Amino acid sequence: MADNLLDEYKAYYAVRAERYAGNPNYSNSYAAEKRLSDAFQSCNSLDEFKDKMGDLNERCASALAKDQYIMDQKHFKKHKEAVRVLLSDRILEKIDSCNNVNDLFTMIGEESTKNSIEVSMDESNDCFIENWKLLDDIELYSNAEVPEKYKADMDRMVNITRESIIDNAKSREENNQAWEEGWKLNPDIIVEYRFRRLLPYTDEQVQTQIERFKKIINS
Amino acid sequence: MPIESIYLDPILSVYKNMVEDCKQKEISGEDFDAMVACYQRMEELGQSTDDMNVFYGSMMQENIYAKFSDHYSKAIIAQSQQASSAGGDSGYDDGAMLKQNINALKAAIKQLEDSFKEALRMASTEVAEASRKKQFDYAFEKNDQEFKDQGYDPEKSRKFEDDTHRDAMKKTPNMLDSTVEVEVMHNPEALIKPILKLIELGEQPGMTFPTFLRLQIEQGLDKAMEGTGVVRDGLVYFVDFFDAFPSNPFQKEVAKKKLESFDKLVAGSKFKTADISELNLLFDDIEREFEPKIRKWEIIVDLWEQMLDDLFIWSLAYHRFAPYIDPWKYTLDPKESVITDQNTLPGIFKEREKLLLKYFGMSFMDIFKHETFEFEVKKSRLYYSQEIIEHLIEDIYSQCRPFNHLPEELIEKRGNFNPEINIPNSREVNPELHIPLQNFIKFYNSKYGEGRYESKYPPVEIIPNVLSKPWNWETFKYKS
Repeated sequence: MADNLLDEYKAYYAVRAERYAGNPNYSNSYAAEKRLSDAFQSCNSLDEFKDKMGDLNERCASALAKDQYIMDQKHFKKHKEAVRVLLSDRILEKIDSCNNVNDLFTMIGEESTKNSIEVSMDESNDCFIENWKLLDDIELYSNAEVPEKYKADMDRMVNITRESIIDNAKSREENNQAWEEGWKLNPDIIVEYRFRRLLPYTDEQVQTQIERFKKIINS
Repeated sequence: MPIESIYLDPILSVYKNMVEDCKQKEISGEDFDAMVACYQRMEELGQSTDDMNVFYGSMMQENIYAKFSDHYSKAIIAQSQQASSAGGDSGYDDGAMLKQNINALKAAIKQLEDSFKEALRMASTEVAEASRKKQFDYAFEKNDQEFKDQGYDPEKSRKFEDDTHRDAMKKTPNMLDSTVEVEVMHNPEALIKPILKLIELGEQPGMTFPTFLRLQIEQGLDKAMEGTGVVRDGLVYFVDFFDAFPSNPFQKEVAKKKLESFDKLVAGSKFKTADISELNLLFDDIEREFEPKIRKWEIIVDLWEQMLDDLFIWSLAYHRFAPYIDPWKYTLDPKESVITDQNTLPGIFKEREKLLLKYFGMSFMDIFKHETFEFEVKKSRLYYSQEIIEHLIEDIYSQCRPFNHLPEELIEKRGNFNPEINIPNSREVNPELHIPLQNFIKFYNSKYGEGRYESKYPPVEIIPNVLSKPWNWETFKYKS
């Protein structure tokens, strides 16, 4: 029975490594599982494995986390997500210094929370994108050719729209200051790829609109 | 002032239950104490502010969720490790480990079944009615003085709400019931099946723990338990949904690409299962590919829809009934509002025309050649009939310029599209506007059972006696 169990464990650990074989996304997991499997294959009894295992098991968990965050890092670099990528950057810097699985999960939890706030604060700058149409409305009402008698109506619409933009910006900043002290909108960041890709306008049009937005929210 | 308990209690109850669960299991130690401290801090924060955003912000800044989960996991693991070495004998017991694993699987099935039963209970009319009553009791109690200050009688308002609700329930008796939807969308059978297979495997005579673990991997049952079978069902659902009810042509393409990438990932994997991490990244790639196209599409549609509305409203402003209809009838001075629109809409329209040209190089006539316009017509999403669109193009557009007014002969012609300002006798409205919703209902009933939609929601509004003809894209001469 003991001999059978030993062989069965050897077969199990071999398959554990096998599931990652040939998958470039899981090269660390494969290497860690292979080391664990090789350690087991070299045993002549189950008891022998207790001494040979060491922390090889925990290294598998660490390798799996490493592979997943390497995938994330590649993915977010490909998509130029300069803030989302910080999570995997920092985790990968620290992962090898985690002594055990508990420390690893604690570290990942802390970094995930930190990055979650960073991403929310960064993406809140899409307030500018949400207000693009209001900025266009200001241009529209300012330039619309109407009889003199109705210019006051157009001016009124411009002022109402301007106040809406100011209120939107103020509300966004107040909201976010509960998450990050002193947070302020940063419209200049819109030219960065992760925002820019969503604006089907020329660079010049985007820059002009950013300047208009800044002038209004800073007035 | 603290956050109202009606909002705070549901948030904290999850964590409170986890603390109680640990107490019942007699879990103790440093991690348990730290977990309780985290929960107490949640309660303190809930008492320190009445602003939910500030509460959530503080919770995140202090990392309380993650700390609570971390200490909870460690407390549970520590207890499990103590239990397994409690006998003092560290000898290997294969049968015991296998049994422990199978018992955990059986407990997982029970949890899935209990959660499903609870989800069905929460989706029932009975629970929804009780929740509605609780919310209304709270709202009316809290705003009692505000109602009175605004000249309303809270008792009468409450009675009106209750009577309206009762009438609605008679027409659509399942309006508060979602048990069928929960049954279809959240039935855990697809998750339980692979677990049962695993248990069956584990309980075979002569089975050992290592062989059990190996066979799980080789048969893909470990991944199946993560729910990848259910993922595929969800992907198929969205392909069907966007086929029936699209708001742009990309949605169905995204859904189909996601399904294709799922099947490709499964086919290429060693043990024919999809890895969730790889899958999520593939899905993100697909969404990012289409997101800019969808944004551009929606911006273009929004701009020309407003331009058509400008022409429609401007020409309608000359109708003799204009002050008595939307959009003027509820303004402070309807007659003055009508005159204002007659004088200002041409200038506004011209500025929108400039924006369309500036941003997308499109003129007014290019709208009708554009794929967005064709899509809106062919999917019966365009509000306007073919006749009124042709009239706006041929007669109204050239007149809608600053300082100009609609000439008398055109006022009459425009007015004839809706002489009595009565939608059923109008030639302005697309007579097939009900088709998208009808398609959605067909889809909905195909998923949840014939007649299900009708038992939950008000009937589709089909505009009766409308005089306009359905769109015939082939005869629309401005499409090229």
